[in-house]
Amino acid sequence: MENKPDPKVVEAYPTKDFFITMLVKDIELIRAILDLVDNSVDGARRIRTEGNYGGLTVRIELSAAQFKITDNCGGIPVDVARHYAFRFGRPSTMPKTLRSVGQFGVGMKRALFKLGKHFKVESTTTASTFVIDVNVEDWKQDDKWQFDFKELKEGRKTDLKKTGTTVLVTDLHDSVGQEFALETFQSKLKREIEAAHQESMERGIAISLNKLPLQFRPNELLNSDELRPAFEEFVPEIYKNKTPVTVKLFAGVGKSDPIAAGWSIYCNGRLVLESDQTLVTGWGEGGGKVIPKFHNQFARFRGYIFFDSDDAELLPWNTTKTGVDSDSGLYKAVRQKMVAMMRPVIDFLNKLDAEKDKGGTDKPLTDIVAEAGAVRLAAVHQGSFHYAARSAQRPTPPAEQKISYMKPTDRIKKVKAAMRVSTLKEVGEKTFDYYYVNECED
Amino acid sequence: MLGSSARINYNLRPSKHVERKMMCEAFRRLSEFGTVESYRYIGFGSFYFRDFALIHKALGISNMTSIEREEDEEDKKRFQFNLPYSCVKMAFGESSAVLPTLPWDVRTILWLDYDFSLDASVLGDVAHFCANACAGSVIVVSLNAHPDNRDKTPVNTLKEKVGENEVPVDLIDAHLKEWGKASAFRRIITNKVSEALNIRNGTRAQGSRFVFKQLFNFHYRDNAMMVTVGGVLYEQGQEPLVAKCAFDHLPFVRAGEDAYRIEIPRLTYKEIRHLDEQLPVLQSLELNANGIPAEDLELYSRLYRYFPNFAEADL
Repeated sequence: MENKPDPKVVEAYPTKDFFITMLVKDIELIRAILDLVDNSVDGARRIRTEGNYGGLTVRIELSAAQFKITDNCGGIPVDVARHYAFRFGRPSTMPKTLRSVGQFGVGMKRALFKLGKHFKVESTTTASTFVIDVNVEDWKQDDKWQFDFKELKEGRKTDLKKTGTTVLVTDLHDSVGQEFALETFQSKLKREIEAAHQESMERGIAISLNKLPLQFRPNELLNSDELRPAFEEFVPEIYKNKTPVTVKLFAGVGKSDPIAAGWSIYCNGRLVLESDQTLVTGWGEGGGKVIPKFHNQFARFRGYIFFDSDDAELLPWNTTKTGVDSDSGLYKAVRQKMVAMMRPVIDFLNKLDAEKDKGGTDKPLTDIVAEAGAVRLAAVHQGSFHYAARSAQRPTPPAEQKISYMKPTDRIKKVKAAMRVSTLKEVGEKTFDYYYVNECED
Repeated sequence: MLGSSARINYNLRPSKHVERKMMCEAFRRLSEFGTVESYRYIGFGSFYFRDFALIHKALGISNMTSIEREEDEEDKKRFQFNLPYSCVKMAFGESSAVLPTLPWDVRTILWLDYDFSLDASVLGDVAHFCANACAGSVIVVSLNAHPDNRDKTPVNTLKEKVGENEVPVDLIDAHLKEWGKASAFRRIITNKVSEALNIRNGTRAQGSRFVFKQLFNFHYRDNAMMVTVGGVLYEQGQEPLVAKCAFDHLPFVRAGEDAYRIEIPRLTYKEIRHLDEQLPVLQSLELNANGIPAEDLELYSRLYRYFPNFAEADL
């Protein structure tokens, strides 16, 4: 029997097609994959609250035909899958993962729709196993906003080591499969995962791409007694009596590299803005009068900001994790500090640049930069940016110097004759000695 | 040991000569796309214009541009003076600056015969060709691929030169030894081609998407170790045309990783004449050797058609 539509009701629910199209438009392919890695990392955070991820793995395999990511990070509990993980948007009742990196409740779904037309999620926790298998085209035809478990086993024990989640996407979108086939795409993806998940990799999680282990790349700053980076750590006042947000700021000097230069921003250890050189992070502040626009002479500038909180919602990131929410009050306040912190570093780099242009051999700033060693951020002490150029050594004047001058030829001839010498050199030397002996010698 | 005077003067770069002639033979087969003489040739002619002379004489191409990065007015005059034929035009500037100023709606043979190693500008030139050249066009890239044995971190050096994203993820330092560097260069270049075509094809319908077929993968050394990679760009629908070109019948054509190594046999002029009189043969074993080592016989019987006719003077 068919329900008659209520004439007083105006329909406002979304069509699935619209929803999917909107959802995937906002995200780049690589970012979508990073979101899936974020899910695995959140799994690691749930089962290893002490923060050591040794033995945990995330394996990514992709080809023109399919995409697969497998982790051993605890799996998704059936209840979480049933009520939260596959919903679009996260209900406020959902139990929170502390220091989570995926908090908007769109990451996994968005990634799956972005990649292809068929996906299968298989997850095993210590207490349950489920499989969800979705043909996206079929699902779109169905009015119901739900997925069905294809398999479901509850109430049996699995060893924690054998838990984990596998996401498999097949029937990839044409453009996605073509990208995956490119080796340059794989290089790009590798680099971006390495940058985004530095912190988790430092804590021991092993990530591989097509069986190749990714490398941990630490952030480093030049540090010595004569060249010290700035480091400040604080909890903004409004967060002090609630769930705290910790902010760490570093600014200093690194290797000369115009691409790597700028500010990088991390939220809960996840890179959201890399080597930014725009007004978002203060470059060109005050029309360029407070802080100059980025220029290659600042290729050694490095700034790092880390926002950390047990409650990911408090952090100033956007939903695609591709930047900061510049309207966030927290970010605005921190940005003010960034501007203040980068000024002395920029002054230093300007002086360093001027020293290079000056010529000569006396280059005290160049020397302290050359002699400073790179250290990891963890080894940097709190304090402001500081440099101490050694007092320039006065160059010792050379023991001998050359004099040359012009005189009329007829007069030179007369002097030559008077001195009984034949060369101009002798004329010069003897006249000088003559004056010196008569006027200067005691 | 033969006296060096009896042998071919290696300063004349015989491998390069052989390579040039082989490529010319392959270019002749482009006639399936359109008459070869209607093609345009773009190269780096230097003062000598050897490639220009060969291509004009052998293929009849007369739309020719030589790119030269020289900016000095006096040197520019010297290039103009040395132009071998009136149909060769000079274009001064870096190739990355000149290529975008040229029209690309004419079928082109572009030979980027760089006198340096792989860097980001080379990949930029390759990408420009792939994004703009019309079907039937050919690109060839020659590079110095000599390994620097003092470099302890060659992969990092390469990343700095070409950009990290261009370097395949599984490339390790050990891969860049000996001819490995040449192989890595080929891989990076063909990756760039695929990437650029992928982008170009994004707005094209199935059937008219561009495809690149690698034809050349030469390894050779006159002094330094060199690599030449090249191929033809065409539309999917032209597959039968490409088949008719029968590039694969040419013994030196290489469509993949496997390189064709050009090695020059050490022979005297008298030996060359002696062998020429007997050639062609199916197997070099059939040749009357007269003391010439078997491997030189083998090399020469493969190369003799492309072998330089050197006299003592290089006129």
